[in-house]
Amino acid sequence: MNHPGDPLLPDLAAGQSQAFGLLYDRFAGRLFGAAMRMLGRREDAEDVVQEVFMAMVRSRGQLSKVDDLTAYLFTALRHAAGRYASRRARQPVVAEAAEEAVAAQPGQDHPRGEELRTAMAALPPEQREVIAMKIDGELTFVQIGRVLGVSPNTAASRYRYALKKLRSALQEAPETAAE
Amino acid sequence: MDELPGELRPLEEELLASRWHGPPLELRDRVLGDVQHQLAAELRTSRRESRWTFAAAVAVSLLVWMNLSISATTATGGRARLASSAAEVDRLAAEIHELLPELSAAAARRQAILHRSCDTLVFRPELPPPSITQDPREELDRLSE
Repeated sequence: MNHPGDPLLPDLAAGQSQAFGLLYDRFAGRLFGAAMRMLGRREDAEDVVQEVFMAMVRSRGQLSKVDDLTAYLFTALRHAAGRYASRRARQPVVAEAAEEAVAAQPGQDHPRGEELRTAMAALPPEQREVIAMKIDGELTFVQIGRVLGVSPNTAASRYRYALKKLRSALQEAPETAAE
Repeated sequence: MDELPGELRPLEEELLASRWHGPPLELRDRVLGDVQHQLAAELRTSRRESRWTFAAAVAVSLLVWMNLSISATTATGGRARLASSAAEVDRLAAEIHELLPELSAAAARRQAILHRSCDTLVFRPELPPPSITQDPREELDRLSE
């Protein structure tokens, strides 16, 4: 998934709209999936993906210096998702929006979809984003390390720790429900 | 580094199976529409800016050229020379030809042009006339004493 010196970069830097179309086709699915996992709301995930692409257009002059396009895109996604999460935390939850959010979660057709969603929502944001980048973004630990500014080993251990926490949350969930 | 403990593998598989199946179709049009709009707006702005830059460069060049022309004309007295140069050269050529009849008319004219050029190039400071501080007779009397 790593594309050092990606052939798309010169066309993106030159502002060719076709290149942005190709970029969308290649990355939008992974970006959207990761944004859904991080934020849990479809409309927020859509806005974040849009923001990432607009940021790419505005900063295209710097794209010639980019080594890893995937890591660059997911760094932009992480920042945009962080902004959305803090903005949403300040806004009051509207009942209708909350229902729509639950209906459009990742894993909606998965047998344990709801359990996974609840357990994911209970994780701290930094653990949620590692899982999102690995599972939905299909990033390697080297790329996750680049996005987070840590070593690949640290990225891998964070991922393992997040999975352990998620597993504990899933194991505790039925007991809590039974109580 | 990619090695995941065996007990965590089923959970990872479960998470992979729970992935979202791609973004909604309408998102592509929305995102790429905005991208094109932004690119077009930036292109318009940069064209407008380059037009203004060109106009400013032309204006500055014109001002510099005008300034230099005025300075050159004022410093060398070119205006006066231009007004009377043709007639003066003819008159001077005729005088030279009269003094040196062995010169052809063309050679005399060439000499006249050269003479005029040198005349205007040579710097001749305008000195004030010497001021007479005393009566000369008083001065002679003073010297004879």
